[in-house]
Amino acid sequence: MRREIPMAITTLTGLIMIIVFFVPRWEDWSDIFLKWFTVIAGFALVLGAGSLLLVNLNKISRKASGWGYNVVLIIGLLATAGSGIIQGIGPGTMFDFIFVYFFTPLSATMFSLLAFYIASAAFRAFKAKSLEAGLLLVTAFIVMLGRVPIGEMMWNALPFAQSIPLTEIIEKWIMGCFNTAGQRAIMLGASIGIISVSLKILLGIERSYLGGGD
Amino acid sequence: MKIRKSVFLFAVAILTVLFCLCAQKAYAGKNWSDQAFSEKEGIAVVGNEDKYEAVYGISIPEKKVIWKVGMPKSHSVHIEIDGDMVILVALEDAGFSKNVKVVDLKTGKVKWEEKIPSAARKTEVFKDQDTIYFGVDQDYRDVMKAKVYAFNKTSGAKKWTPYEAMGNIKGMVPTQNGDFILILEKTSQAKGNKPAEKSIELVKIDKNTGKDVWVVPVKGTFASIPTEHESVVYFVTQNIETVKGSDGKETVNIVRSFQAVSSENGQILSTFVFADKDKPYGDPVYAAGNPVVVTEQGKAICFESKPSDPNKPVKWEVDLGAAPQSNILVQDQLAYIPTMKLDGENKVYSVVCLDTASGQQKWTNKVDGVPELPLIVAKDTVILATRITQGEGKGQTFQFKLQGINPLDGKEKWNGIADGKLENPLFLKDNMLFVMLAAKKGSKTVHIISMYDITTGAAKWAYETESVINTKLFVDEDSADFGTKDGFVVSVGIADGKELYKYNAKSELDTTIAASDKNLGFATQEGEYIIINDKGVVEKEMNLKPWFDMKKISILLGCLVLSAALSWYIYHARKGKEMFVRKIAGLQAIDEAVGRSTEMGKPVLYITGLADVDDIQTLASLSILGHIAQKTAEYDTPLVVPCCRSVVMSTAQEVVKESYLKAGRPDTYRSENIHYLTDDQFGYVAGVDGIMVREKPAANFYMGKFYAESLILAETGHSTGAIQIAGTAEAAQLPFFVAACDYTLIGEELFAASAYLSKDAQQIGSLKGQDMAKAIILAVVAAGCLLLTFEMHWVKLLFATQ
Amino acid sequence: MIPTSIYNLSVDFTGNQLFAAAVEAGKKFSTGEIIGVWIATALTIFIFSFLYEDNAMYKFAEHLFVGVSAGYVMATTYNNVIKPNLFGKIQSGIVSLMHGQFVWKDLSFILAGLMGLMLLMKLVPNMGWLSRWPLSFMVGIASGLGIVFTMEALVLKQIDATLVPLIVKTAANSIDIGDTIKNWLIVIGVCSGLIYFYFSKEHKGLVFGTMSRIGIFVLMMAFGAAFGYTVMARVSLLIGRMLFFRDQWWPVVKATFHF
Repeated sequence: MRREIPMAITTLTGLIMIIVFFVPRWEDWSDIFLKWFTVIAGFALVLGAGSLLLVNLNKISRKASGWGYNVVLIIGLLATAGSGIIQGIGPGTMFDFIFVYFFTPLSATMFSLLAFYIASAAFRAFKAKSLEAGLLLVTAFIVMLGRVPIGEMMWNALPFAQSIPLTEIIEKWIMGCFNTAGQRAIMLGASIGIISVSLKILLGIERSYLGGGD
Repeated sequence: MKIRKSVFLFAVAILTVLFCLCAQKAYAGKNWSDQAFSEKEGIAVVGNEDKYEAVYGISIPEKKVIWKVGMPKSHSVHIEIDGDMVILVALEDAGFSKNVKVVDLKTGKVKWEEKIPSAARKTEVFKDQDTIYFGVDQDYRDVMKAKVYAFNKTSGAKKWTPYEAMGNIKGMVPTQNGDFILILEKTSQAKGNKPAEKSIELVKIDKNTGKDVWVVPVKGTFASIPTEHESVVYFVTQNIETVKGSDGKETVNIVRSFQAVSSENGQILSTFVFADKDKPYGDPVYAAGNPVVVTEQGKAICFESKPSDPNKPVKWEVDLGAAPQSNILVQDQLAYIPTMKLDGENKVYSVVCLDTASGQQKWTNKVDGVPELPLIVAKDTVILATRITQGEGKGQTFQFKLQGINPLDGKEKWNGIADGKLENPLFLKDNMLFVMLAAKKGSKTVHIISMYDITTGAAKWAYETESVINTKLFVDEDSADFGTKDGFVVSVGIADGKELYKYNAKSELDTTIAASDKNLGFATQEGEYIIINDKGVVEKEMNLKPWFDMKKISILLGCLVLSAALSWYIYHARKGKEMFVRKIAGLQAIDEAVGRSTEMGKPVLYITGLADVDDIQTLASLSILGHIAQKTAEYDTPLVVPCCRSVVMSTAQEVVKESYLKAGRPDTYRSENIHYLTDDQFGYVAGVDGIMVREKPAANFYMGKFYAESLILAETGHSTGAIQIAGTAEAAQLPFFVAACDYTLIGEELFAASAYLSKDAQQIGSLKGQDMAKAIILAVVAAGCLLLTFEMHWVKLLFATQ
Repeated sequence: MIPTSIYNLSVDFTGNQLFAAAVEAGKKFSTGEIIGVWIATALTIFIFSFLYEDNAMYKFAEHLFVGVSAGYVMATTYNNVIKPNLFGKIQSGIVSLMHGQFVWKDLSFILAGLMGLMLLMKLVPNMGWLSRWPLSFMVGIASGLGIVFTMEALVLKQIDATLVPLIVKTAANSIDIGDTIKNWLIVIGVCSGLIYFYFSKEHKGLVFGTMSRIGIFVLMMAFGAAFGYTVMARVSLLIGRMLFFRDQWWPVVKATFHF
């Protein structure tokens, strides 16, 4: 029964979600269920916090190498969560200070690292080893040219540039044609995959989320 | 076998269509039009705002839906009760015609129905004793035509062939003798270097013959809505003129003029051109037999209604010395104007009272603060409400001042002051003035309704609530009722301000409140029409939402077809049918990657993506994790799974534990290796990067849903020299994984992976089913494109989901 | 209430611009702001130092980031989800109950709270199995929506978009060669891409061999296009971060050292 009941819950919930999607009279339940979801996920954060504390306190108590950093992590966690829960998260609170001067710059800087990584990935792609990789490289290169003013200037210096403007190649043929077709094929394929996995879950064929296969 | 399969699919399709047709019983939905209500019969007529598929007649005394009339799908519907009939006008779905239905108010029987070609949303309606006139615009390849139709009210018979003219209908202005004047706006085609010109036409139509009696063309466009008083139509026009100066430069001038046209014979009675800087503030206001116009610059000009010299129509002109803040308000020959004047940087507000007969300024009252508009003029009191602001920024506070002023001399009769800011316009009923304020109380904002007696200025009571009031106040004999944003209907006693009841309507009201015999009726945003009694107890809740959403029929069919294809192959696989599955490169490499980690004595890193368990990609990833965990258990290699979601972490622990159990190595399972980091995208990436550079896993798996962080992960992993296998259905992130990882499962391959790895017959069967689904899509695309090539555009409608 | 500052995440330029505009207008810095901007500066440099190699500064910033962001998520979840959706709904349900009205839609959130508690049963020995119930509920939601929403938002929309006439005519009723070729390429591209995803057939032979080969070419070109398109967006993120030094840090330096 420890497996049958959860499977029944899954199937039932899934069917309800499908039915209420088609029945306007019950459509509010879709919204309510999704709100329940966020509430349950909110409770789950207790598990997350527990795991984070456990792993880090463990390292601290073992005096593992670099345990000081784990102390920093725990202080950061407790200060942010504590101030936000006790004092609230409005403007002028301690939480807001942490958000503005700790969280935001850390987030933005981490995000901006992508500029370096995309450069190194592009550089590696230059050493195209196969026809496929070559295609990726050439298309990327042409599109990149179109995104910077100097690219347009270089293109216009070519003899045939007058008959085919760079923007037309990029907008109409690469983005409007190959990119659209490729993205669409991926989306169609993936959505069949999603529907297939969903159906298998509802039918109880796919149940690895309950732990293990059988 | 082949025949059985197609028969099965065909039957499913037929059954679905039948089911949908049967289910098409009642359909309305969220967002009601405001209800039209007949007080005599107690019948409310409501329709639904965005898909007017039906309009309902609801009897409040009988507490039930008494009729329902189906309407074409539409974006807007016009509902009007006229005696014992209801006029409904809807723009039809395709948007090329208007559907007019005239329905009996008591029975809902459609008396007649008509289709009027018109693509415009607006419909002008004019009614007289026995005829309804509709004015509509029709678009003929960018040329606008206006048409006026006349139908007999009871039979729907056309009274005459529609009147036709070039231009757009701007209105049908009722005249005092029961006729109407058709107002048209025309745009001439640009010719050569002559730009398109706009002009106005006033047309009087003979109601018996449908022919025009007279047509008056006027240059320019409307700057005000025309009105008619005592056989004269008044309006303000504006006209753009380019003037060539002596230096050859062209300057653009806006010429505004006041016009008066006789509605009897179409004669232009007067034209007055305003001075360059004068811009009329609003529509001409009719006061004591003459129209008065105020300008933004502070002039008040009164025109003779029938001047002896058409070029000199001004009766009097007064300079107010300050800028008006609204149009004038006229009562008993007196005009009241709120004005503002700059004194240095300060704004000084006052209210000016003019005698409209002479233009003489009767009094001017300076007010503290900013006047709340519109002004209210009761029988012998002018009520002036002002907002007084103190402080700035966060510490700003508001006060509300109410003054009663004697209209004859401008003297203050009484005043009162309260904390807060006016939220809704003042509402006057008999001698009771209702004021709705929002005030700060500690850290909270409270909403206050108070009632003042305007004869004495005394505040009778105040009702305070924390809920935001978001309907008009509905005042009847002994209570004032209103709806709140958090979904309550509250009734307050009119004598003492005590709360009579508070009814939880579960969602905001979407219509005003109608009352019949002490019962209140209103529609909520959740699609219910609710009738409650004067105790606040529900008498009847009517859910008018449909049982099946016809717009989603293509989705239902699609789901059924794909599910049938998938189930078919799963069923056959279960019965033992062998099915072939080709190799998938990324999955072949899993063994190699785990093996290499074992050789190097390094851990394996598995990332389940950023999404929670509400994303199927995460579930697919967890399934793959199970298989990889079994491998690492067999090889006795540590498996590290840092998680971005708590639920995913909890689930991943179960999945991995089970795999270790299956591999017979439960003792080597370490739950702390499957741990939570943070829900935040970049915080998570920072943490995983740290793990990668410090623990140097030899194999990295990225399976699931990823956003922009995909490249940071893959590039850091690459720099540590790990074998990397990625899989995601996020089309936007695939390029980065393809560029930076050794193997990438693209889109559907991610979902197929668990089936492939499980070697379970049913799972393999589902892969075959997925192929069948793709074959169906390919066939549909091919057939659809062919049909479209031969211009059979209806095929597109089959896939419309909106 | 969400903090006002959440809307001007300084990954875009607005945060910097607002700050610069305030400085221009003669803004006086509070001690808190001066300390804050110095902290932000240090953390920015710590994270960038990772590009060179893993070091103590990055380790510090990384651990702090994980802790702070986890705390951030917990605090916002408590304030934006648990408080309004759990406590708020149940409270409103109880208030109505006291008015004699049973509002099931509000009171049902008690069930959500119970399921949340069940999930925590994982921490109690021998009660762990109970945590599977709410998990099953969540997975059920995902799979139910997975079928209908995917069908609506992806399958039908994408098929609809792919239905194009294979011969495009111009206004003058002659054939528009450019658009006709484009439509053919799109249809062939989508179809070959789908055939690439066939699992039950080997990628061999005329149909499956050739078409899947074309399919992978189309996919690669799509990837290349997306890659090329993203490069400049990523560079502008970096520029945005650099502007932080000009628009926020430098004015604070001047304020700190009074010059």
